[in-house]
Amino acid sequence: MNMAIDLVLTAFLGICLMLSASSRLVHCIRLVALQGILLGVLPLLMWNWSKACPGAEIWGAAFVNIMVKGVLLPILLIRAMRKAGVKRELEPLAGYSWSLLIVSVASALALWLSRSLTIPGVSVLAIPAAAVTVFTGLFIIVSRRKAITQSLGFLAFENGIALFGAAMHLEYGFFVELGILLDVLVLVFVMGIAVFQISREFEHIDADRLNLLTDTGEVK
Amino acid sequence: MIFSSAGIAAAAGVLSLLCCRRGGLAGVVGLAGTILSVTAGIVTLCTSPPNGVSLLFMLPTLILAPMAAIHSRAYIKGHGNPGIYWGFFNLTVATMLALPLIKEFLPFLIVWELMGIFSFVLVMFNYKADELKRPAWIYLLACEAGGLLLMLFYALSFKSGVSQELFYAIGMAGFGLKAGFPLLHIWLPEAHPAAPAPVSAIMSGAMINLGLMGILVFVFPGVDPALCGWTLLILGCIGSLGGIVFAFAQDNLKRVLAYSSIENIGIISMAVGCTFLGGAFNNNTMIVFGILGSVFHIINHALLKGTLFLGAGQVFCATGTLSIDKMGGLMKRTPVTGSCFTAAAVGLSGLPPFNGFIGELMIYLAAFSGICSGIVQLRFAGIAAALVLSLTGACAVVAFSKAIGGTFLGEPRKITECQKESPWMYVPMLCLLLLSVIAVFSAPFTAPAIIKLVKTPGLDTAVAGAEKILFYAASFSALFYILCTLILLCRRFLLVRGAENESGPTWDCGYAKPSARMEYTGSAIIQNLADLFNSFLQIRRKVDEPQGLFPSKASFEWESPDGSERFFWAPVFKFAAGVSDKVHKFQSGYLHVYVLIMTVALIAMVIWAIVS
Repeated sequence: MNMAIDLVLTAFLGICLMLSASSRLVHCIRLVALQGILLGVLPLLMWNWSKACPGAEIWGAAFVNIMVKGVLLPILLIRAMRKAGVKRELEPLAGYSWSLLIVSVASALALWLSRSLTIPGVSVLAIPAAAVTVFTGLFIIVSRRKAITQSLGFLAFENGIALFGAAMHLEYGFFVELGILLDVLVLVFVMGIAVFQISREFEHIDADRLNLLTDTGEVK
Repeated sequence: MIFSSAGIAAAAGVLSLLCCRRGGLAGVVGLAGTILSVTAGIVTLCTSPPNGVSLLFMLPTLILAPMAAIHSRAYIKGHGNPGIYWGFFNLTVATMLALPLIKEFLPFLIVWELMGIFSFVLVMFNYKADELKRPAWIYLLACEAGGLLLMLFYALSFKSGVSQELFYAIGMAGFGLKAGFPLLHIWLPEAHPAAPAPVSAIMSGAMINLGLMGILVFVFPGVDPALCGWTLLILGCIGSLGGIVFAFAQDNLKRVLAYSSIENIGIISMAVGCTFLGGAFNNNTMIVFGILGSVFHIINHALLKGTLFLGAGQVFCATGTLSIDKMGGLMKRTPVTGSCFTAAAVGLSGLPPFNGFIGELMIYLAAFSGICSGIVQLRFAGIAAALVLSLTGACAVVAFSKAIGGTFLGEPRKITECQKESPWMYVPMLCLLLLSVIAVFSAPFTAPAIIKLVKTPGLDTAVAGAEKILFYAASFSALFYILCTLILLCRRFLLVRGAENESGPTWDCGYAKPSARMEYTGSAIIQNLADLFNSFLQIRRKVDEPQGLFPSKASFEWESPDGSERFFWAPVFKFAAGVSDKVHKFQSGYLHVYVLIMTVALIAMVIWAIVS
């Protein structure tokens, strides 16, 4: 079973690298959806099957995770994308090769730092994979212009936090997870509506120009 | 049961707020609620008196609230939504009635904060006026700063290893902000002129005392009494002298009264300080006179300052201004207000025969018993208190003679139109004055009860002496009243018999055709004294002197802004604003930058946690 878990965690790392280097929004959304599905599967993989079958709680968590993060949110995002009429993140604040480099360096750094953080019974890759996912999410929020990409970044960020919880067998992780899930759901809904409205009003959805909407209205 | 009065006031407040659509109804509910709650409060006090000092700090509210409420009825007409006024008026009164009864600090703190917020709404009741924004803002800041300090005080009380001095200093500062101790008094001269007059009356007569109560109940237990005594005595000396010197340099009538409140809270702190010092050095006479002096002065200040503020409210309603230099001649047109104002001012200056005299007499005696005690520290304290008190009294006479001379005497200067005075406004003032006369004569009888309230045993001989002195003072006052009555009767029945009454302009010093422009203004009256104290006051003058033999124009302007604001708080806030401006650069408006800052901070924290 350990092999499978490590495989999934490595996939997380790979997805992060791909996410930081791809410009097509549909592709990014699919990657984040894949992250969500993997996250839903992870608790089942970590279960000690030789002892007993997992309870309804585990199955439920996996199901909800896969449905919301793997299916519902991507559909919402793709719809928002189509409505706003954007396909690519064309002018990121940090270029794609730079992004790839930064995330790779961050991964190396995370792997190096996590040497002192190994926890018995947990895969060595768990902490770096989670940290890198969190970092990639934040990095995407910082370095991309489109509101949709930024909410994708937030989703990735949230996946990273969830990965921490899942990999560490945190107690009550299920409830915490559901709470965060609700937050993300609301965020994506709001974002979906906002993106549509903004693109209708301003003919673009570049979040870096939204600071024109401050109460002073000063152009900075 | 003891909270019934506060409960009734709170209920009346909520009810008035509920009927803010119908102003008339709100007025009736509000006024009835205040009077009902005060009645309940008095009944409670009579049937089951709460112990300790809380009773003493409830009395000013109980006296002032109904009077201010009656005054408000006329005052707030045409000034905004009566429902909101009455709602928050009653809520403020409710919190002020509840505070002295609360013994636990946390509920006290909550009610304290509520009091600040409710009274803030009252201060900016006339919110459409632009000149009100700054005072209201300052008041809110002062309230919240005090609240924050008190929260810190509460939090620190659970933490061991905090330096005791710092702990008590924080508590003192938190309550001192409400009491208006020197340097922390910044909100008084701003908020009082801005607030509606009845609200100023309550805030000045009753609310600032609560700050002192907080110090006595929550900060001082457990501190060395000598330290408490010195702190209060020194703060009181600075506050009373500084307050009254600034009072006579003001042109705004209510600002004069606000500074006079700082002075009076200083006098009260001086008296309390004397009590503590007497306790520290086992001087029973000093304790007794100190207690009596502080209690009498608290009550007197409530009665007289209440009258003065209500009078200022009447003046404002009649003339539409508070600038002393613009008014004049109001005694002829608002005679009742003028007389009440004068009488209260005489009383508050500590002149016989009003009750202000009794209170200050007790404080003088406390100081003198310190001087006579033979202990060096007490001697020093007594000399300081007596000196400052006499100087303060003299300056108070100047300040009030300026205020009265400028406002009520002479001929009208700029404001020639004047509304008639309304009985809603002057009846409460008359009631308060009547109460202050009663206070003079009841003083010998209440003195033992007051000492008993504070529960200090072994003072019987000293109390007997104090009673005797109070009895003499009361008889002296009675003699004075009888003389006055006789003189008035003579004037009414003997002198005027058969004479014709004729009224003319104010005596014109022999000029042929004097005009109101030739009158002494309020600023002119105190010019000498202001020059004397100018190194302290730093008055801003703008003089355009007359030139040539036939000068065509000349002008003179002056203002005396608050010293602590100019030389302490303004630089402090300027520095804070400079720092904030630099920090403000981080707030660029770009989401990316915000997230970047957070990410960098997060990563730095993780690395720091792992490496260290």
